Amino acid sequence: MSIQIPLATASVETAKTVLSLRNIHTYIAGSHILQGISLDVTEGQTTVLLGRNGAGKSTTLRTTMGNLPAAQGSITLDGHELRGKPAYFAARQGVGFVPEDREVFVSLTVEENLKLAQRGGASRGAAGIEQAYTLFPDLRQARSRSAGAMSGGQQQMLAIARAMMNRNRVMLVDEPTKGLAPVVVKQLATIFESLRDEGETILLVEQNLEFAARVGHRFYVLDEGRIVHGGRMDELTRDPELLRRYIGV
Amino acid sequence: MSTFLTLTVSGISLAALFFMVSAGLSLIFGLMGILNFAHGAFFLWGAYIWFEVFNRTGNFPLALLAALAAGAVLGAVTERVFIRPIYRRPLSQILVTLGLGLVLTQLVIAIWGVQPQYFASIPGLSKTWRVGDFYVPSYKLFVIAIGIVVLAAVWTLLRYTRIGLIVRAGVENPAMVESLGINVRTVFLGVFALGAGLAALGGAVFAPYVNSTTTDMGQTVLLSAIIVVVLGGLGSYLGSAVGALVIGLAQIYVPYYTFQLETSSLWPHGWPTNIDSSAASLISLVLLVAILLIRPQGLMGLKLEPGGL
Repeated sequence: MSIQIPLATASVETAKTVLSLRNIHTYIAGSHILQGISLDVTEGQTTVLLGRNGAGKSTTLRTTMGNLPAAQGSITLDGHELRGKPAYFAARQGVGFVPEDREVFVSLTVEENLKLAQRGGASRGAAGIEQAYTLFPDLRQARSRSAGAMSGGQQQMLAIARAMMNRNRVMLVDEPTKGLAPVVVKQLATIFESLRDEGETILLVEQNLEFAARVGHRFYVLDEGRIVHGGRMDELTRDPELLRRYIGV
Repeated sequence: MSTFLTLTVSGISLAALFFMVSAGLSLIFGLMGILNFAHGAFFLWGAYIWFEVFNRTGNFPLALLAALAAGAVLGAVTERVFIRPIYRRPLSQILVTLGLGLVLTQLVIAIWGVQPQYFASIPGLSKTWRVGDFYVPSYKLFVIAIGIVVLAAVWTLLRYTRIGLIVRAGVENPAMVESLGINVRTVFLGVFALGAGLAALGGAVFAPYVNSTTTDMGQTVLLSAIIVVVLGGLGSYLGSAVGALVIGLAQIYVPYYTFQLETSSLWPHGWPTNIDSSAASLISLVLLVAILLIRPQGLMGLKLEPGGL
């Protein structure tokens, strides 16, 4: 994409932009939640969306997915418009989604959760499930157990594995560390590091700055429905003033 | 003892009828969040389509299949034309499905008239076995058998097919199912058609049970079916089977044991007469209130986590 908003010029763009939001406005029950969000997600990178509670981070992901309608603006995946399309369209175009609070299907078994996510052409088939079990050995052990009986950390891994059952162009991941024990957060950090190293394209919402700094290439800061800052991750961690102002660290 | 057995067979066969109506009602509510007040009208249409085909051909199985098919078509058209534009608008859904139920009922009256329709006895199913005081009408056994076949068939569909997997997940969280690339709306259409077809089959099976078709039978059964669904747990398939059993048996036992009615009043019709139908409605409502107070999610309902739509 050649259109660049001023915030994105902080880093030099060489790689391809996969997902691009331009001037997105979203209302929930009459409240103006997103007030003109623009951001780019670069191929093979992990882009982190930071900001306080209620800043609009989850709304940004849900709007991108198509679960919430954007009143205005444009959302493009590899140049194709997603705005106004249902969530299943975005998913079929290659947007994987790991929602806040995981939202695994608790009445299904672990393996049924994975099977459900497999779709015809894009599916990796039985190999996909095998791959998920290799990446998350806990899931193999619990394959015939109800997903509702698993721990929060295991459910998070299931949610991630579920999103990876098809070949994605980009994965939207909403606060994977939320409410999880430090030891699980460490495990997740290792997983996201390996995803990053394998060249997965990820848009990650995260409040845990240490986690974000460890896995992210680039960041945006959201505040009251607007992007207020953006740049390379290492620039953020070196700037205590910025951290204090927008993230409250 | 033989009285108790007679009552039990009646209760279970009534439960089988309730189950056919409430299974669809429950799945439709669980998956789409719609309480379909037109469901009783699908039941009614099933009874009259059955009557028409049976009256003309004398072919009982053919008449049952015709009712099932007509119900499914009616359900599919209803979902496509009336329900699809009003997803996520609960008030409109109540008004539209109530109104549709009234219109469909009036159509039955316009075509067949208000008077009950009577028909020939069902070939091979009009016998009643008697052992001492224990009466078993063969038709009641047939109704129980149909109920078990429907229960098993739909259970197999839900448990072992991809469509079933999508429905089960959709009952829990349709938005997340969509986010996995599945067009939930096409599944909605299928479930609505299936639910309406089962209700119509219920109507078709019910008509010979009471030896006539009447234009108010849809309303009566809808109330019981709604209670069954709430009792079993909204959206729970096996829950509606359990709920149907509880309500079916209660509606037979309670009037008998409170009013000491003769078993003959429950036989051969098996459908409560005026006196015991008020007792039957009363016990259903008492059970409804009790379950809402003690276990609001129903006997087998899911406790949904926040975050699901």
